[in-house]
Amino acid sequence: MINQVHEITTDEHGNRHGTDGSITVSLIGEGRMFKRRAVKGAGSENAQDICWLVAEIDGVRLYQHGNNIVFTRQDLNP
Amino acid sequence: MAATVQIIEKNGAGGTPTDKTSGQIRFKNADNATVDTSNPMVKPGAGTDYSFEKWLRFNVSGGTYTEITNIKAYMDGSNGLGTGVTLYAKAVASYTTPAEATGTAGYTDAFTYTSGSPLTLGAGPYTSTGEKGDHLVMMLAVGTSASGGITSGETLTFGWDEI
Repeated sequence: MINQVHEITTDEHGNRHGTDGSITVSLIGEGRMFKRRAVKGAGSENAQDICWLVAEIDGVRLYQHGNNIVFTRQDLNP
Repeated sequence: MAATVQIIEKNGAGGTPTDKTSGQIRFKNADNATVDTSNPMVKPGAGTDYSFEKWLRFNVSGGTYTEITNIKAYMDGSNGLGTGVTLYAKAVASYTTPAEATGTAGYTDAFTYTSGSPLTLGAGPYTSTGEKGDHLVMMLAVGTSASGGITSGETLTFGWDEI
């Protein structure tokens, strides 16, 4: 099963914007944004392709997946 | 855009790849990717029956991306394979022909690798297509207390960061 993979773009000011087509997360100024992806259930018929959007500033991360948003310093995995 | 990723099983002297992203991985007493009941694991009268190694690897088969980092693997933390059945894992850089395991030296119980403490398969950064990171080598051990029959499936996760 393939879930929506986020799209990350950079605007003319260098700010990053990540979207899953429904929710957009914008990172203004310093920091980094990336996709944390996983194949969960690899090696089975129930395999799922999962994508979280991660925005990070000074070690503090915002994880977004669907309607769920987590704000933490922890390194989380799907 | 995003990378198109497969989890492949490699077999034979040449490491022939089989896409196992959403196909079962069957631990057995033979080196092949076939999901059948040939060459089954055998509950021993004494000691342990070890499976042949399973050599799995992260493979970018296509798509568009800039960079992949932090390839890792982990389980759900709970062994649902049943009493007397243990799954082991380790990371290995270079491929060698899968052989029947003879012990657990160098391996760690796969279920100790969780989302909070995954097995690192490569920091990267990686670009382009092809196999990336270390191989995930797994093997199954069946002890005398195991029950017969095919075990329940388990949840293996491959994770990575991508921009």
